[in-house]
Formats: sequence, structure tokens, C-alpha cells
Amino acid sequence: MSFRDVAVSQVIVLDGSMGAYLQSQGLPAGLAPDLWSVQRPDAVQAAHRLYVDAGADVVLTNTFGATAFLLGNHGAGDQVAEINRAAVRNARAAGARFVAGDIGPLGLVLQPSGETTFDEAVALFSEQIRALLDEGVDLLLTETFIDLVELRAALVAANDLRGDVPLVACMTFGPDGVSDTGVTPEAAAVTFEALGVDAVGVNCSTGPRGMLDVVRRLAASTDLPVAVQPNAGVPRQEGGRTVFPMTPAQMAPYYERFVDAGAALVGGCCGTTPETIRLAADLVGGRPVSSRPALPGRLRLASRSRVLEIGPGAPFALVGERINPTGKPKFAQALQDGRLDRVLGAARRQAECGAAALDVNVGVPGIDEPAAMADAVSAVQNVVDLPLCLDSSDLAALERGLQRVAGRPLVNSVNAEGDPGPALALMRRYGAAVLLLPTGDAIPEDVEGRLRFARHLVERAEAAGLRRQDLVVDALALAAAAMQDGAASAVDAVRAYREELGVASICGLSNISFGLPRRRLVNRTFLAMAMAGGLDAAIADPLDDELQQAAVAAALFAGRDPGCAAFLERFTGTEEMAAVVPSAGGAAPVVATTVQERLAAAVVEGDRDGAGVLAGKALEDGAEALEILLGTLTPAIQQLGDLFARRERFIPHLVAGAEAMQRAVAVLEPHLEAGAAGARGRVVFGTVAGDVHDIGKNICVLMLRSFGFEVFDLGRSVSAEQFVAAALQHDADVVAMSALMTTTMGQMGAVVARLEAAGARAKTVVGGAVLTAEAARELGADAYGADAGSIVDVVGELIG
Amino acid sequence: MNDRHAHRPHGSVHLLEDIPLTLPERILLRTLKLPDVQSIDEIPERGLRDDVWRAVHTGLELAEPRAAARWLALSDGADALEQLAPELFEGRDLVGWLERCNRVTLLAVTLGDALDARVDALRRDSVTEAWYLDAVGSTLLGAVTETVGADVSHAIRKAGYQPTERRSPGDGDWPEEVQFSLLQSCGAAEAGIGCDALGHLTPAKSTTAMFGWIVDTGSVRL
Repeated sequence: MSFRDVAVSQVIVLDGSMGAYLQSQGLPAGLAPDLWSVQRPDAVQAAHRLYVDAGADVVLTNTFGATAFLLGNHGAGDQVAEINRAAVRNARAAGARFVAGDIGPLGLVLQPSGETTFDEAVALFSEQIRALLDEGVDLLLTETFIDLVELRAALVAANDLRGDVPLVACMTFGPDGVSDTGVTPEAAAVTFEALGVDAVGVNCSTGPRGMLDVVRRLAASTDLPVAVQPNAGVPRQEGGRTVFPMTPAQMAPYYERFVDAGAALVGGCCGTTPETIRLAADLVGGRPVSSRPALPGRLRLASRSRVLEIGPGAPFALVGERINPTGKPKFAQALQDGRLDRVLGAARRQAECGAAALDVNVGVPGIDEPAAMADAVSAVQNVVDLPLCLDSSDLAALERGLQRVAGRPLVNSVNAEGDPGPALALMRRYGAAVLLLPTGDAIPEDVEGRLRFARHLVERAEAAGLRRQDLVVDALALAAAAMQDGAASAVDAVRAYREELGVASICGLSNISFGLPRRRLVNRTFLAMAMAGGLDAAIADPLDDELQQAAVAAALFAGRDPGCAAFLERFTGTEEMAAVVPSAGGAAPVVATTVQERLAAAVVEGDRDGAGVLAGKALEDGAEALEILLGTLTPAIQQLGDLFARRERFIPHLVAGAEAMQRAVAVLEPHLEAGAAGARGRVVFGTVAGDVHDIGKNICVLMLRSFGFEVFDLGRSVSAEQFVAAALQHDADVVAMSALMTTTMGQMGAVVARLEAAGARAKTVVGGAVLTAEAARELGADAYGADAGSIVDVVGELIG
Repeated sequence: MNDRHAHRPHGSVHLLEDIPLTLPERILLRTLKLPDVQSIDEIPERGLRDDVWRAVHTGLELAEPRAAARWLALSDGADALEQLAPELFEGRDLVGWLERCNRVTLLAVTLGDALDARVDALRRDSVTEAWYLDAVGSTLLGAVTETVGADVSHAIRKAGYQPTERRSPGDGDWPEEVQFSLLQSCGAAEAGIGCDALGHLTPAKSTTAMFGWIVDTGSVRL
């Protein structure tokens, strides 16, 4: 019975840790364990034998670090083949049922964060994998990867060479179920499944308790077998030794829970022993694999942490079209100049407006498109976490982009003109989904023509190893102004794709209205009709809020919004044709037109010079100062605070916005009656005696004033007596203290004590680089202000 | 800095100038608490992006990195240390740490006082711009310290030892109050670095540190 047959029916037991055993046998500190495959094969074989005797079905070769760069650190970079082949022989000699070629990270950082190219990484992995396969491993297994791109390189290398040898892809996730590079189990499962692996899994991480949920999430995200190799908890140092906290007996109960959660392969990682594996084998070895409901088999894309499903029953997917230089001279010029600011601006805006994925097209004549595509993909992934759709007819550009994607992208597109084989093979190699454009030597206007090309492309895609759930076919939204019948037949084509080919559909929406006035009206009307026909996705402009509203409404009738949940979430509490609201959390951006709207925008955008000027202009236009303060500035700064709370803006935005507000307030102040605006409370603020670092304090003062507090800024190096005197004089609600040095931190405690002794009613808040919440408690303070972003809330809560 | 320091472990002061100055953008962005961008050009808001670039250019223009370093051989006995650094090695943990070390390197690094002066001037006009420039200064100081620290570590390795992690007064139980003694011991005055009566380093964009030299032990994945 092959490994593949076993893994789908009964639980397979993998081995446990190798390094600790080899150390116990004298492996010197600092020496790579991989070297012992040739230097001390007896010790390596003995380790394997212990696990086989304990009941392991699979032993992993001693090759975790046996790639050229890591071996090169030990002067053995030219012995990759020798060491890997010896490691396989050692595992085989131990009598294992299955020998898995173990593949670990390279110890290098891939571009763009590092210098190593994807191709170089593939070459390094290939050298190792070729040796493992030449020596006859039964399967390949990756483990302890945290970077999705690096692991994709390993899987691509394995796929290039492995033929029918099974491949298991494991990576490491943190205590929150996310890898250190932000990868979720769901995104990993989609990405690995698309690369044709035989099982997905998790190893190492934070111990079995935290990994249980990762196993559940993996099992819910794929139909493939799931592997889990827990470590024995998070290690600690005791007397110079690394100690793992969990005993085999403590780990044993988790193995049953792993299998119940869907695991089909169980083993151990750092800190586990043959006894751990013996208990695991006794408890779950050979047990039938838990059955899981089959997934719907839709097209799936992934970014580092998000999965997008496209197909019947899934929410309608709007792919943002705006990263495209066609017809945009400034956008094209920026790309020609090597600048990505417009690409990134378009990415962020579309994400803010609710795009489900982003189309990335950087095709400008005369530029190095492959390099531009690689740079754009890396940069876009850094600013938004959405799946990508790589849009180019240049295969070299597509390949460079595909190498940079962290996740699973869609490629736009392959058509039937010429031989689609090389393009489809490329996408298969990188695990991409493919948008098929049903055109060939002609652009078909009728349904039959579209279907003929689509069928041909689907057959070619399947011949290249792609599945129907890897494909989406374009409806061909032809310009209604030129081909009215052809445009209308796109709706029928969508139905035909689904019923006759069983594939999902998409369309490039904006083309439908080309040459007509009121293009947005035409676009959203066609979209609703096409959705009624079953259209699954559109490449369109997510900044068109009315289009988005139409899509949400049409989903009600297209079987894509069970219980009207999405519609209710979006529209409950809103009025018909309500005015556009200030942008936050996905709403459409506002175009500021009046002076006061521009003033509000200046505060939100942190335009410090503009805010002062606009406040003056608003006064000139006849607005009351108090109305400007309460009706424009205060809502604007509150909006900025909301954006900060949603992590759509950050502390620098808050600070700049607060200063912009203060400059506007300074212009208004001569026109305000004293105290007219009221105050949320009175705060005395200073850095404590001996501390002259006051930038943090100044920022907090700015924030508090902007959010309506009256602040008495005592400056820096303020004595306890001065704090107390000011608190009493101003009847302060809060005394806030800042310190940057541990030597001055103690002064805060003195201030707290003196305030109490003087009978001041003020509550106290402390903050600064050296402070922690615990230190604040020890000092007797009522609250701890972690940073300028939190000070407003902290003081507000103290005042109540 | 180069290997020659490893061969003169007994403590003449080395003044380091012409230290390469580079700005690690990601660290600056983290310092400014902008978590979602990897480079300044990726800041989506043009105004903020321009402000940060302006602060960077100003910081690079004004920074004048210098450092002073001195090597002490702990194996030469307490007397030599006592003479050089009477109050330097305080703290039980620190002393325990020192017991693993054969030598230590003391280091003081500064960006000079022009950047401080500009931050002070800006503070009066714009808290925002003062903060940006202050953050640039902190980032540059960290980068310069990393650069000098890497050279120190390299020299230690070339001498056949393993460098420890960097320690600074205030880390663990090594009190900040040793700052004055540390500055004296490493000849920081030659780099223009001092400290006031309250223990604040002057210029403000300065730092001090110590590296230990230990026998290489290596590590292995378990």
C-alpha cells in the first residue's frame, strides 16, 4: 500500500526530534547535525531505529539543513548530494516503512526583503531534492518554514523533479495561529493545494495546545490530509541547557485530539522523544482518518492571510481594476520613472473601498515589464492584504510576478490565439489560477463562439494539469456602443460556461460602456443583469460606490447572500440615496468641495499649513468660529480617531492631524468666547524632575488639546511640588507625567504620593519609553499611557 | 574599525570617524509607529510622505557620527579595572555576565549636536516636524551603533572569541548611573560625548554600550 493510499484512510505516525538525540551521542555544539549522516552514520541510524521501534511509520531523513548555503557554513557546501544520499540510506537502514526526505528553510532571505532570487532558491532546493529522490525517498516533506514565498520555491523545486513521489508541505505558525510572516492556515492550505501537494501541515510552533486550532483550520480549508508535528512546548534555558516543558505523557492526549480535528499524519518536532512517538502510535496509529465534509470545489485565491472564493454560492467578487496604466499618462509616466507611488495609492484606495482582489497591470511600452511586475507585486502586497490578479500578456513578466506572490494569484489571461500550452504550463508550475479569455483568431460575438473557444481552453488547461476549479472564463463584455447583440450575449455566455463547462465566470466590466455617456450607469446595469445570469466576479472600479451598491443588491437575487446578511450589514440604518459619508472602513471616499469640507479633509490628512489657511477662509465666508470648531474640526479629528482605532491610520497621522487642528483652532481662537467650546476635562502635564526629554509629552499635549481637553503644560523637568501646586491651582482632573529614563522614573511615584498627601482629587497617568503597565502600577499611578495614540482614551476613561 | 583593536586589548582609546551613515527606512517607520508600510515611498498620504522625507534629508545632512571605543582585558585582574572604571561594573546580573567574558569593549557613539539643535528649534514651530526629525535621529543613531557594533563584533570574532549581545546602562540591573564612569572609561570626550549632572548624554543623540568577549560555543537545532 502506497503512502498516498494509506494517508487518506488511516493515521500515519511520523518520527520525532533528531537533534537532541544526536547531541546526547556527542554531536558537538555548533556542528550541523546533517554532517553526521556521513561522519557518524551509526548514530543517525540508531536514532531512526529508536523511532521505528517506537512505532513510527515514517522517518524523516537527517537533512533539515542539508542545502548548499547552510552546509557551506560548515565547509560542506559542495557535499549536498553526498550528505543527502547518505541520510536517505541511514533512514532506510533503520527499517522504516516510509522514508521522507526532509526539507527545511534555506537560511537565506528571498527578494525583496533579501538578496536571494526565487530562481536561486529553487536551484538550492533542487540540488537537495534531486539527491533525495535519486536515493529513493518515498515522499518529500517540508517543515519549519515561516515564509510563504520561500516555501513556494521549495514546492516548485519539488514539483519540477518529483514525478509521482508524494509531497507534504508543513510550515510553522505562532501562538495566534499566524506565521511570523503573517500567513494564516487557510491561505497556506489554498496555496499549497494549488501547488499539487499531497498533504498540508503544521510543525514546531508553540506546542500541541496552540497547534490544535491550526489543525482544525487546515482541515476546514482543504480536502487533503493534514499533518501535525508538535514540539514539546516552548523551550526555556535552564543552567545553560535547553529544556522543553512537556513530557511525552503530557503530550499524548493531544494526539487523539489532533486526529479528531482531522489530522492524518502525526509526529513530533523539537523536544519530542521516541517515548512521545510510542505513545502517539499506541493511541492513534492506524486509526481511521476522521471524515470531513467535502469542500465545494470553487476557485480559490489567497493573499498571505485572506482567501477569496469565486464561484456559485460564494459572495460576488469585485476585482479592482485601477492598477493599470492604460489611458492614464501620469500613471504610465510614474512606472516609466520607476516610481510605484501611484500603484500603491491605487492599491490602498481600492482596498479601502472593499475590493476583494486587485488586478495588477504595469504594461507600459519601453519599460522592463518583468522587473516592474515583480516590484509592483512585492510593493502592493506590503500595503494591502488582498489576493492579486497578475495582468499581462508577457510571460516573462507573469513569471517574475508569480515568483513574488505570497499566496495564490489569478493570472489574467490566456486566450486561444496561438498555442496556450506554455502559458498554462507556467501557471501550473506556480500554482496560479487562470483567467481564460475565449478569443482566438477572432472575437466571438455570440454565445456559441465564446463557448467554442472556452471549451478548447479548458481542455488545454486540463491537459496542462490544471483542474476546472483552477479556472475562470471571461464573459467577454463587448462594447455595447459597437456590438449591442454581442454585449447582451455575454449574459447567456455566463450561463453556458457554468452549465456546459462547470467553470466560474468573470468579466472586465468597464468595456461594456465604452463609447457611451453615463458609463457608470451602463456598467452597473449590465453587472446586475450578468449577476442574474450567474456571473461570479468582475474586474471593475471599486471606487464606484453605486456599482458596489448594485452588486450588493443583485447578490440578493443571485443566490449569493443567504439571509440577506451582506445587504443588511451594509445598508441597515442608511437612508435611500443617502449622502456620501466620510470615508472609513471601506466606504467610498469623499470629494471635499466646500471650504469646511476641505478644512475637515486638511485635519484628517494632517495638512498643517492648509488647515490654518482654510480656517481663516471659512471665517471670511461668514461661518461662526464656534460652528467651525464644533461642526467641522471636532468631527474631523474624531473621524481621524476612528480611523486610528480601526488601524486605518496610525500615530503619525494622528499627530499631524492634531497639529493641523491646533493651527486651525489658533486662527479661530480670537473669535471664540472664552470657554465657549467647553472642555472634556482639565489635565496638568509635564516631564518629571530630572527628565528633559519632552517630545513625547508635547505630542500627548497636542493630542489631548485636539480632542477637547484643557491642558496645562508645565514643561520639562517639573518637580513634585510644581505638579501638586498646578493640580490644586487648576483643580485638575488628571495629572499626566512623562519620563524617558529609568533614573527619573521614580519621581513619578513621589508625585503620586505628594498629590495624595495634599488632598488633590486628580487622578494620575504615567507614560514614557521606560514605563510599562506593571511599572505604572508599582508607582501607584491610576493609569498607564502606552503612547500618544492611547492617551486620549486613557485620560477620557479616568475622567469618566 | 578593523582588526587592530583585537590585538590591543588593554585599553587605548580609539576614536572612530567617517562612519557610514545609512537610514534603515523600516526601522524609522516602526519608530514612527507606521506598521503597514515597508518604505517611505509606500506611505500613501503625500503630505506625510513629504514630511518624513524632509526629516530624513535634514537628519542625514546634520548628523556627524563619531564613536569612541576601548578594550579592557578582564583577565588582567581587578586592579586594572579598578583603576580604569571604579564604578562601572555594578549589578549582580552584570557581574555574573562578566564572569563569562574574557574581555569587554566599551563604546560611546554620537550623531553630534547639530541635529539636537534643529530638533529643539523645530519643537517651537511644529511638534510634528520635531518628532519626525527626532525619530530620524534615533533611527540614525541606532543604525550607526549597529554599524560600529558590527565592526566591534567582527574584530572580536577575528580575535577568536564570540561577541556577546550588546548591553547598555539601564539594561537589566546595570544601572544608568554608571553612564559617567562608562564615558570616562572609553574616552568618550574625544568623540565629543559627555553627560550632564542628571546623567543625560550630550549630545542627546548619543549612546553607550558594552560587548563581552567569550569563548565560542555555537548552537544546534533541537
